[in-house]
Amino acid sequence: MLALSTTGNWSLFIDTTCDGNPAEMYESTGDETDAYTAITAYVTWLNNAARAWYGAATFSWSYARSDYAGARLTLAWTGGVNFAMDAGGLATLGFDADSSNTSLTAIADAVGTWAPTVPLAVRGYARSLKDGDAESAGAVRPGVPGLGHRQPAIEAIGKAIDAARVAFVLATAATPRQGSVYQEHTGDWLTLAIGEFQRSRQDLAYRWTIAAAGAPV
Amino acid sequence: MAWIECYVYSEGPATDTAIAALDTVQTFGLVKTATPSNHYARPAAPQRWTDLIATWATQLSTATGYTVTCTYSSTTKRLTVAANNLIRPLMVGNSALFTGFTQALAGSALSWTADDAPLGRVELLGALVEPREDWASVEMELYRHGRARATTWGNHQVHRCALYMVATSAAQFDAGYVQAGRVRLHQGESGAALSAYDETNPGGYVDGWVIGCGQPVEESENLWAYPMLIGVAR
Repeated sequence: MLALSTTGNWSLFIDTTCDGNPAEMYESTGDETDAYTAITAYVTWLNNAARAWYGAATFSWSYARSDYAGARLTLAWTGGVNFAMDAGGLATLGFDADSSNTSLTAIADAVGTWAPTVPLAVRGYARSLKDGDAESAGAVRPGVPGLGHRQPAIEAIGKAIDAARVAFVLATAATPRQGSVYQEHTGDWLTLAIGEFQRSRQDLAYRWTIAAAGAPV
Repeated sequence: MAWIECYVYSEGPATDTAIAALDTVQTFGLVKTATPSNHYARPAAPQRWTDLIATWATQLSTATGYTVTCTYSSTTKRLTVAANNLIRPLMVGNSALFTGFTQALAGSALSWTADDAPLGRVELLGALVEPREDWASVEMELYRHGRARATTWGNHQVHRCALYMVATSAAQFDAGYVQAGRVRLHQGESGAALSAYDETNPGGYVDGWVIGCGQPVEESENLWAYPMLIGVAR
């Protein structure tokens, strides 16, 4: 899954009630401009010790590819307590006003998300220093490997609906373009500068090769 | 079947019996042969072929007081103009070429069918419409300390298309009305093709601007293929 930072309004105000406690209002900081950072911040807030329901429930989130190649978020919690939210996250995260004792699944794809048929493959996410005394990371070899660039190779494979979705998502991307990418084989979320998308076609399938580098500024 | 149709320019309606200053293919005239008197129709703003002929029918009905219809058959590839009283189409500017009628018509009749296929709409054997691609320029800068920035520029997206047609349709196509400016490309006549293309309906019709049209290729006898690049504002 790719969660692009988009130009839309990401201010989140979600009125939340849990386990019979008085409602509390979640308010985003304004720094979360993609679906991954936004849902992560909300879940962190839900699990914060300052919440009245702290200890009664532990929250987590997940996603699933929708029929239209976007990511459909699910919020789940332990403890079997009743949880309710208003529609404050509908326009961005896709959650409508609803309540449940176990989990809530969004009714719309999260803004800026792309979940192709074959999940994104992220390889080579390692620090790299080029040869020679001068390189793009600085005129002098720094001698500190942790300062080298990361330039992973990202690839995806999908169908026409995946192609349609990614173009739609890219049209809403903020500039400079950056986003959060889920690396399947490590289970990590990587925040990267997202460069050019190159698409090639074979029969009914499409392959994308995506330029990326980290960490973005 | 797939088809492509053009948009025609207009910047104000014709006023019944007078031809507005700018009259090209968007203006259509009708003679009430009983009177006789001339009447003209023109949309107030640019319209695509299908909407244009509907506008002509509405405006000419109002102007003449008759019930005028303008219908197009994708099977016969002909435009028919009919009324409940005797009429004669009156060609303005290049509208004869555009609609398929003969320039100088004579006589009167209740129904007139064009002699040739119109140039504003071309029937296709098929249309390959690739899903939309982002046509942005991205500059990836790598800074010291491993930081990166991907600055993007761009305001449109594109569809790579291939249009397949028989030689008679290629003659219409080559006239140029559907090769430049704004067009609508339909991938079919049923199901998803009846709705506009979007991120949930990649089989829908594409409404955009022609960025380029490549050289035709004769795929086999009587079968021509034209590559086309259609741009859409994002």
